[in-house]
Amino acid sequence: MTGQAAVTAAEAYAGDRVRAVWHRYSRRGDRTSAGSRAYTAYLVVLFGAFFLAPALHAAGTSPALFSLSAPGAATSVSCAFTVTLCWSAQLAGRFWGPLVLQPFVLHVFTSTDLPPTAYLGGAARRRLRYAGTALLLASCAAAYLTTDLFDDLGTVPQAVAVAAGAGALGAVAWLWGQVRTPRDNLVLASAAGATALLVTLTGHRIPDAGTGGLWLVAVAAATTAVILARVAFRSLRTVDLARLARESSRASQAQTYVLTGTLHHALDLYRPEPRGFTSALFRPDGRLRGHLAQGAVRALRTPGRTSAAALLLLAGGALLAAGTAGGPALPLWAAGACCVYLGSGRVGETWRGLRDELTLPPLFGGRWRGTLARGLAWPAAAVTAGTLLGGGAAAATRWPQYDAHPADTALLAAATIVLVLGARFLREMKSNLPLSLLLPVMTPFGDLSGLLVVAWQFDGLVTVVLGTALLHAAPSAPVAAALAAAIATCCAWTGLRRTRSVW
Amino acid sequence: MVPVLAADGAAVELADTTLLAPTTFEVGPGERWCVTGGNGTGKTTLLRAFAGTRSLTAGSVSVRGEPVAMTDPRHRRLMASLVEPVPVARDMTLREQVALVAASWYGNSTAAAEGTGRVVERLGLSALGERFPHQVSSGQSQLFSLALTLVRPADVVLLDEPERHLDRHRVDLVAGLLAERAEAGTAFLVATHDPALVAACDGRVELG
Repeated sequence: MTGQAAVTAAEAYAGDRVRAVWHRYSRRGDRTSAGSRAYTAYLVVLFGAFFLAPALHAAGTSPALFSLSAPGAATSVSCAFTVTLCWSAQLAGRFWGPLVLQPFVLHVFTSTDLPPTAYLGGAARRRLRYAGTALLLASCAAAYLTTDLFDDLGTVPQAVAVAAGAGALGAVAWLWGQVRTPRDNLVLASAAGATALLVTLTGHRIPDAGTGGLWLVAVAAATTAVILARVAFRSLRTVDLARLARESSRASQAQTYVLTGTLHHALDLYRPEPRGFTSALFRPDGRLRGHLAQGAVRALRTPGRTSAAALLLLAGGALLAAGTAGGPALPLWAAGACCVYLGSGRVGETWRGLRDELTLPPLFGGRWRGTLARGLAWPAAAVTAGTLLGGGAAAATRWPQYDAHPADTALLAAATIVLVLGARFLREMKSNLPLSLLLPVMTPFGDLSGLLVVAWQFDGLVTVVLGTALLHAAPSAPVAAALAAAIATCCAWTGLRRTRSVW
Repeated sequence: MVPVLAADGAAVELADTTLLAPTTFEVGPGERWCVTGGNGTGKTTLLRAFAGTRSLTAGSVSVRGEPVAMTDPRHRRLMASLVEPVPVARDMTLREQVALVAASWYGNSTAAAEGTGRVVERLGLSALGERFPHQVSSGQSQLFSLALTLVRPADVVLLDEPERHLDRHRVDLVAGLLAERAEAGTAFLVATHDPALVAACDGRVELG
């Protein structure tokens, strides 16, 4: 059979060809066994029985964390939630979209003459259905746990409709983020923000602002989702297959890291490559610039990450100021600490340089002389400055209601910064998964060693959240500051031990 | 007759470095041509230009008289290539993967099964068909990559050093399979350092 004749015969059966490939691929050797499915179901049951059910029961029998009974409050919050979901989904799509396939299968498909819609369309529709359903359930659960929308039967249909609309919009925005250009994504993000503002303002004018506004949000989100879906699916015909192959390859590698318990290695794959400022590390006379200037130059080489860090630090500083002033409010305080923690990791590449210097054998003489100063000067200075700037701006606009103890507020904010820097150092010095974590931890509920591995993966964040809770429980600000210093010291010591365990 | 492959003064320069000096030749249907030359003379660059993954800085290349365009289904239909490393599925056996590539062209027809069996047998992979990729040697892995490339229909095939990691017997197996496909009308452009493969070709492009 010649190639031309065979292909002509095969042309009429594009659907059959795609189905044949998926059929063969789904029957490959290491597909999920009944045992591992049963174990997953067991973990889900444990989660439901010991966490979800008590949380739902507690939420049903206690006052709501956020009351949305004020006129227009529900509309404003649901608009903010929907637009945030849309932006997050777009961002997620840029890194790991619904079209990501196993590299081998994608290579097989892209080597054929099949149109991309034939083999990407089905997978995209299926994944968007799953994502939309998951977002609907998660939104409903979050609304039930934190608001009073489900307390009154009259608002339940509207709340579910908003969750459904937001879920559909989020799922479609996920695909949009992957298949459309950055410019189109910026347009959508701006349009979503403007629409949310418009709907919020319109919702306040509706006579029955509580339920009418929610219906308006739901209809607007669903309509936008339908329009976006048509355009996004039409874009599948012209999707950049070479870029999709690179994304799929990176995602496959990252998945392997995640499944082997090294999430931080997977996240490293998504760091942008530095560009620009190639000779800025040196002064005109050829000498190296100072530690702070070096850190700033290296940060400017990854402008996207640095911009994200600036936003997170400013927001974190503002939240910290709001959370620690006027009597500490734990949710705001913890949210601010988490923002500062996330910003501290994106503020520059010196963390990675420090890890490399501490974990690799010393090639150029003394290890300690200047290593820590060189590695920590920029992140410590940038995190402190960004957080104080955000807190100062919040204080200047009189956002948080201050009490008569500004010194305590400043001390608590400084203590939180120290705690966050310690937690970040602990996380950044992480290398390989300790084998001891793989030993079984037998409990009446079975082997729960997997939970330890999960906690190890997110140890920095866990430290920040638990540490903030401890600081909140401290009887006074000086005691909280001493506690933060102790925790940060403990983190630094553990981080240094991690680097030595590699040798 | 329109040549299957044609290069007309095709050249690639990067800054002050010449990756491919101006090259001109034509390959007809069913012909086997080889590209020879030392390391760095542009053999792989020339193949990438035909595969559409490398842009030329001067001249042109064409497939069946039309410019190369990877986004064009007709181009992908005409051409198979083993120039870049092929991703493999670590959880599928060699035979399963070859069959999957065949299914992507022939669906669930008997042609898929027959094509798979024929290529696997002709490349001496029958005894290795039930193994996974990590269970074979470098040479066997190279034969597997060739099987993935040759199991699909194509009017023209680009191969970059197909003799890599292969002993003399396996090189002869590959040469025999190429001759068989060429008789059926498939044209080949093969970058190689192997004298036996060069001798078996109908034409030669010497670079450098």
